[in-house]
Amino acid sequence: MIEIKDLKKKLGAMELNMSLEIPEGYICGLIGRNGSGKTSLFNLITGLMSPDEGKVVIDGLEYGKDDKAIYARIALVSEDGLLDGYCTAKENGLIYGRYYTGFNMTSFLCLLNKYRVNPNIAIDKLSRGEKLKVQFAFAISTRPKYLILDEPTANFDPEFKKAFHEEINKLMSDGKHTVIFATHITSEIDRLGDYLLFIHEGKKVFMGDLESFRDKYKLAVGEEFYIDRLTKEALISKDVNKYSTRAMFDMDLINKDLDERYMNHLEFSPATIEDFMYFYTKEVA
Amino acid sequence: MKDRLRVYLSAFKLRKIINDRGLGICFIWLIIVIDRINDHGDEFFSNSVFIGLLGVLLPMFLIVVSMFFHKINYDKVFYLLPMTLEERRKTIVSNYLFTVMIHLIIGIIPLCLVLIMARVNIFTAAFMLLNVIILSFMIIPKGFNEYVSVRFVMVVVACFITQLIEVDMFYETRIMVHAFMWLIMCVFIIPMAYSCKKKIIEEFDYAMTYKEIKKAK
Repeated sequence: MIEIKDLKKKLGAMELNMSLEIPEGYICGLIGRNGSGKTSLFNLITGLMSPDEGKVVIDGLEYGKDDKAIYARIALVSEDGLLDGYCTAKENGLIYGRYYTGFNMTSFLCLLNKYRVNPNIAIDKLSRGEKLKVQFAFAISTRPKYLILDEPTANFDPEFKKAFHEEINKLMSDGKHTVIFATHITSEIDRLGDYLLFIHEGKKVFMGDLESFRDKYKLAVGEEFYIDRLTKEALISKDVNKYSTRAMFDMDLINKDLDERYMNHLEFSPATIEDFMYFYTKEVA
Repeated sequence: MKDRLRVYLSAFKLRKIINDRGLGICFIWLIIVIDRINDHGDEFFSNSVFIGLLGVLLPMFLIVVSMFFHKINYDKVFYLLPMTLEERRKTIVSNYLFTVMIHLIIGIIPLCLVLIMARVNIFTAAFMLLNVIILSFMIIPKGFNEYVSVRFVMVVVACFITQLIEVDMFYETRIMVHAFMWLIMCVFIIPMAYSCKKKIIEEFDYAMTYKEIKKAK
């Protein structure tokens, strides 16, 4: 389990401030607007960045005391690039793979072959998608317990996306691994994810399983008159146009006794992640 | 040893030296060769001049080129490797020391052969060996454009110039010039090289943690 305890980090004008637990054995999708702190959160989880306050605890292990044990458990795939760009994929595998007890060079090269990436070309000379494929192949080959992916699929072709999904499902099959991936493609979370973590301006907005998310947040469509009559605290934001009004509600805050008569005039449907992001960031803006 | 050698050799990428704008250093060697040809004409290929260039200056030039390929900075993946902080520091320091060892081998072996063949006096031999040893320990701080690199450049240039002068005096004994060279060594080169020691240790400390560099898009 990854525990984030009272984590605070100043990031320019914004402060990242959150506490949460990411359970083991699940796929957790992380979403948020650009600049909401997703990459910084990953940097904090992977120890690349130190927090100002608080700590990250992975399986009871802490940075500063159990670094070796933590790094043996985690692997990161980052849009920013990870490996030595001047070296080829094969050279990177030979140089860095030996530090991991579970690393298998043969399986790394097999994965590269499967993903149709030439292991003998310098990483810097590969396309963006190919660079991510190399990183992904390297990460998988280290057999991590926690696989952290920072917007991996944006540059993947459809053929590789399928292979990527298969690889993730294979990794998750024993129930002992955890995948955390940040993405703007919300359909990826719907397709793969078990848990959803939504952050906004460095704060956790929602962390829970997708079922709970769909129960908690609902999209209401109907006349503005009825929408305005519902519990104000439950309203996240609304979108008014001349034909109808759409509004996002936190159903945990709805007073069903008072609001039921108005709710009957509205059409409620489970919120999609995309809708929720739209309405939430609209409200804050 | 095999892994360390692999790491050392994998750093030799031509694009690195071009990207670092260090390509200019490659022309210094050519300038020296052309200068020697102009000075000595047909005698260029005589033993003394040729030996001086190949046995003394070429290894020094190779050491400087190697420095461009082996700076003390590491990619993001290094900071995610399963190792304790002590192991990370040990890896950084031992990579540096391995590079120094290679520099010493490249510099000292040919130099010793040249010194024996030319039968130079002990003071010249000691001076030239000291120059090569000092040069072997130098590193390029992580950014060539940083102000502190001036110190490094001054040490390298001083080592090259004094070595060139000593090579020219292989078969002559000019006491005053030798004395002056030793004065430069004691008053300038050694103190400057020692002041670089603090920077080298700072580079180790700097390399211990990952620094995010915002890449231009």
